[in-house]
Amino acid sequence: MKLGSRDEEERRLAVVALRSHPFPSSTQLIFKAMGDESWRVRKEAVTAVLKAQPHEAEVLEALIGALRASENAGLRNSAVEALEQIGAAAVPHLCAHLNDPDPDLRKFIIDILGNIGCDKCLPLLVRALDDDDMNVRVAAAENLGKIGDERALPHLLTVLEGGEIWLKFTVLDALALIGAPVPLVSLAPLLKESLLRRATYDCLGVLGDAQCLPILLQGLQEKAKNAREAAAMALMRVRERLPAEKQSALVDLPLQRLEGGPVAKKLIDSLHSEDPMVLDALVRIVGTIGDARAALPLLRVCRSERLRSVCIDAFRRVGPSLMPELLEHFPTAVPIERGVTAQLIAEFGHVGSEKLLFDGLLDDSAEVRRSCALALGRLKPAGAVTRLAELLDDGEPQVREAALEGLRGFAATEPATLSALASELMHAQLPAKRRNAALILGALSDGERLPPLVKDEDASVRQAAVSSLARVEFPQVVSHLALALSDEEPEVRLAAAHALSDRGGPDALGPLLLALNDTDPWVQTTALKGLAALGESGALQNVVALLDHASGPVLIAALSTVAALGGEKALAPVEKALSHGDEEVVEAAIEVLSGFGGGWIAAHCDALLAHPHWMVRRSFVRALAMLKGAESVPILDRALAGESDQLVRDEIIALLDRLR
Amino acid sequence: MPFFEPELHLTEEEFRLIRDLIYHHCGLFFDEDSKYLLDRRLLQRVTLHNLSGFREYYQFLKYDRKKEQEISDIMDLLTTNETYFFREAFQLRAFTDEIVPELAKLKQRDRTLRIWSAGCSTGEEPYTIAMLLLELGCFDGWRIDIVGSDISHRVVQHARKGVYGKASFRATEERYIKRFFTESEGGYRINDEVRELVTISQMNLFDQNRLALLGKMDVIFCRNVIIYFDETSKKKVIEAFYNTLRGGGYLLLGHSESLMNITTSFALKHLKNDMVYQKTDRTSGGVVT
Repeated sequence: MKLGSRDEEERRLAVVALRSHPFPSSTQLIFKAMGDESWRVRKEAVTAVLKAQPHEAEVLEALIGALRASENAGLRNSAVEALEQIGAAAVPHLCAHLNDPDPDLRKFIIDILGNIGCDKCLPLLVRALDDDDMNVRVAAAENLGKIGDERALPHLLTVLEGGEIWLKFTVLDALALIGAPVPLVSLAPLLKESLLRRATYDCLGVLGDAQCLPILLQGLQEKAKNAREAAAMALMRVRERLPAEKQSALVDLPLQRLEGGPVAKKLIDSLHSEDPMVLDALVRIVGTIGDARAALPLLRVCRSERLRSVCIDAFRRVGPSLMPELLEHFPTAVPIERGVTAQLIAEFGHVGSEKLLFDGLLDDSAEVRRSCALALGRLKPAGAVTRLAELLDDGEPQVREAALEGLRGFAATEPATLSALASELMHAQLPAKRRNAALILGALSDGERLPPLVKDEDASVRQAAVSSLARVEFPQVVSHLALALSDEEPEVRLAAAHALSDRGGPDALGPLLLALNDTDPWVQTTALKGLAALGESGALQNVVALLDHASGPVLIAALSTVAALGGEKALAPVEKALSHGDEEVVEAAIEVLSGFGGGWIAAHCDALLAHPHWMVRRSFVRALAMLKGAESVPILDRALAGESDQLVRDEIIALLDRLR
Repeated sequence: MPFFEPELHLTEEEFRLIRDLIYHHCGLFFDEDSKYLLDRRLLQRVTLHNLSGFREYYQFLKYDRKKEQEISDIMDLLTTNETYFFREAFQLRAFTDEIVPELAKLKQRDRTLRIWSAGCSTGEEPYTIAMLLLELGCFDGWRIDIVGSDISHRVVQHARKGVYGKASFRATEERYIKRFFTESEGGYRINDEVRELVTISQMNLFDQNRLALLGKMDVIFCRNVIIYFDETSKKKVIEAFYNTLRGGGYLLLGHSESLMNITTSFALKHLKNDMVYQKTDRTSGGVVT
C-alpha cells in the first residue's frame, strides 16, 4: 500500500499503517498525506498526528508552517484541524506568530486560538483589533466573541466608535456572544447605519433591558425585512426578561395600538418567514396586536407542529373577530387547519357552525374527526350524542377517545340519552365497548350499574369501572374499591388506589394502608400519596416501616409522606436519604427537607455540592439560596468555581445575581 | 383531553433528563432544537398515563415495570419511519449482482444465507431483500434467514402484518407487485412465499443480550439509521455489527453514511454499482477511539 497510489482507499490504508511506525520516522509522510486530494486520506493523517501527542516544538512549527500553503487548501485545513485539537499545547507557538508579515497566517492563527477558547491570549487578540489587515481585525473581533471573556468588552466598544462597518458588524455579534451588559448609548447610534441594524437589534435582544424597548418598538417599522424581524425577535426576548406587570405596560399596550395600521399589516405579511425563531416572535406579536387580518397567515403557520400552540394562543388573543375568514377558508384548508378551526369554533362558542362540525365527523383526516368530536362535546348541540356514539367505532384510537370525551360532556344536559347509550354498550360483546360504558356511567355518576362492570372479565373494563367509581356516591363504593385492590391486574389495583386517594375520607385509610404492601411499586406510591393527603398521623408507623426496603418512586413518595404525617420530628430518615445512591431519591429528600428550614444544610453541604449528578447539585444550590439567602453567597461562589456543568453554572450565576 | 396545545411545558431540566435517559437506552440523541418535539409529543404520554407532569413521566421511564415498552412507544412518536420497497436501487443492484453471487459461491457447502436488516422500520427492506433473492431463483434447497429488526414496537407490528399502502410502492415495478402481493385490507399483503424467508424482531441496537440471539450474519443492511446517533453511539453500534458479521461479510449503510472516523475494522470495497464495507482479515480492526 502506497501513499502515491491512485486508489484513494489504498492511500488511506497506507496512512493507517503509518500509525504503527514511530512518529518521527513517519512525520514527513504523514504531513504529505495531510495535503492529499482526498479528504478521507487527510482525515486519517490528522488522526495520526493527534495520536502522536505530545509533540516536539518542530512538529508544531511545521503544522503552523503548513498554514501558509495557500496553493493547497486541503493541507491548510488539515493543519488548522490538528492545531485546534492539540489545543493548549499549541497556544504559545501560535501566539509567537501573531506578528508574522503574512496576514493570512495571522488570521488563521487567530481563528485557531478562538476555537481553542484560550483566554490567556486575550491581550494579543485585543491588539489584533488594530491590525493593518481588515480580515485580521474582523477575525480578532469574532474570536474574542467566541472566547466570551468580559475583559474584551471595553476594547470591543472602542471599535464601535470607529468607522469600519464590517468590523462593527462582527463586534456586535461578538458582544451578543459574550452576553455581558452593554450601555445603550454605545449601541443606539449604530442604528443610523442601515447595514448594522439587524446586528444591533440582535445584540439588543441578548443584552437589552426595558430601556431599549422604545427602540425595538420603533424597529418594527423598519423597511428592511431582516431588520424588522430582528427587532421583533429582540422585542420578545427583552419582554421575556421583564416582570409580568411591565410586560403588559411597556410592550403589550404599545403593540395593541398598532391594530389595523400599516405596521401591523407588514408584521402579518412577515408571517411567511421560514425561520421558526422569527415566526415564534412574530406570532406572539401579531397575537398581542389582535388584528383580525392575521387569521389566515396564522392558520398557515399552524401547520408547523412546533408553532401550533403559540399560534392558538395568538388566535385566543385576537378573539372571535377572525372566525368569518377562517370559516370561509375551511373547505379548502388542509386537515390540520380544519382541526384548529374546529377547536376555535368550540373555544369561541361560535354559533351557526354546528353543521360544519357534524360534517367534520366524517372527514378523511383523523385529526379533523377528533377535533370536531371534542368541539361538539363542548358546544353540545342537539343530535350530537347519536353522531358521537357512531364515532366510538372509528378506526383510529384517538378519534374514539375524543368521541368518548365528547359524549361525557353531555352528562349534565342529556342524561337520559347518554344513559340509554350506556345500557346498550355495557352489554356489548367487545370489551372496548363495555369500557366505554363504564366511563360514561362514571360521568353520569351511576352507582347502580357500575358495580357489575367492576367484576367484568376484561381488565380494561374493570379498570375503567374502578376509576369511574371515584366520582360516584353510594354506600358500598369504598368496599368495592377495597376489593379491587386484590385484583390480579396491577392496572386495576392502581386505578383502585387512585380512586381511594381521590375520594379520601376516614373509610379510605384502611384500604390504603393495605395497599402499602402491594407488590406493584406504583400502587404503593399512589397509596402513599393518598395517605399523605389524608394526613392521619396514625399511618406514620406503617410508612416508616416501608422506608427500610423501599426504593425508587416508593421511597420518594414515602419520604414526602413521612414528612406530611410526622412533621419536623420525623425527618431523620429523610436526612439519611441525602446519601442514597439514587439521585432521584436525594433530590426528593432535598425538597422535603427544604420545607422545614435549613438546619440540615451545614452537615451535607460539601457532599451535595460534589454530588456526581448535575440534577442534585442544581437542586441543592437552589435550596441553599432559598434557605440561607445572602449568607449562601460565599458557598455559591465556591460552587461556581468548581462546577463544570453549564446548566448548573447558569443556575448558580442567576442565584448569585439575585442575591448580590 | 386537550385539542392541540400542551397544557404543560417541558422545562430545560426535564428535557435534559428525558433526553439523556433515551440516549443511554438506545443511543438516539436529541439536540436542543428537538426540545419542542419532545415537549409536544411526550405530552400525550404524560396525559395517557395520568401523570402530573414531565418530571413524573421521567420517573415512570426510569422505574416502571413497563419502561422498555414505554420507551419503545415513544420511539414511535419521536422518530420518522419513512421507507419503501426497493429503496436505493443502486445499492440493491450491488447486492444482487455482486455480493450475492460471491456469497453463493462461498457458501455453496453449507447452503445457508443469513441477512440482517437493522432498523427495518415497517418491513419494506427485509421483504425487498427476500423478493430479490426469490427473483434470482438460485437458492433452491438453501436455508435463507432474513431478520428485520427495529426498536419501535408499532413499526414491528406493521412489518409482521405485512400489509402496505400505495406509498410503499413508489419504486416498485409492477411485476413484483403481481408476483409477491395480494390485494387485501385496503392495501397489498405480502405473500407467504416472501414472508417465510423473513423474521421480524423488535430490537434495540444497544441491547447486547438481544443482539447475541441473532447469530452470525453474512450481510447487514443498516440504511439511514446511524444518522440518528452521535459519534459514541455509532461506534458502539458498528462494533456490534462487526461482531455479528462473519469474516468476509458485508455491511451496507445508507448513501449518506460512512464509517470514516468510526472504525477501521471494515474495508471499503468499490463494487461496480456502489461502495460497501466488508469485514476482512487484512485490517487490524478496532473501533476508533
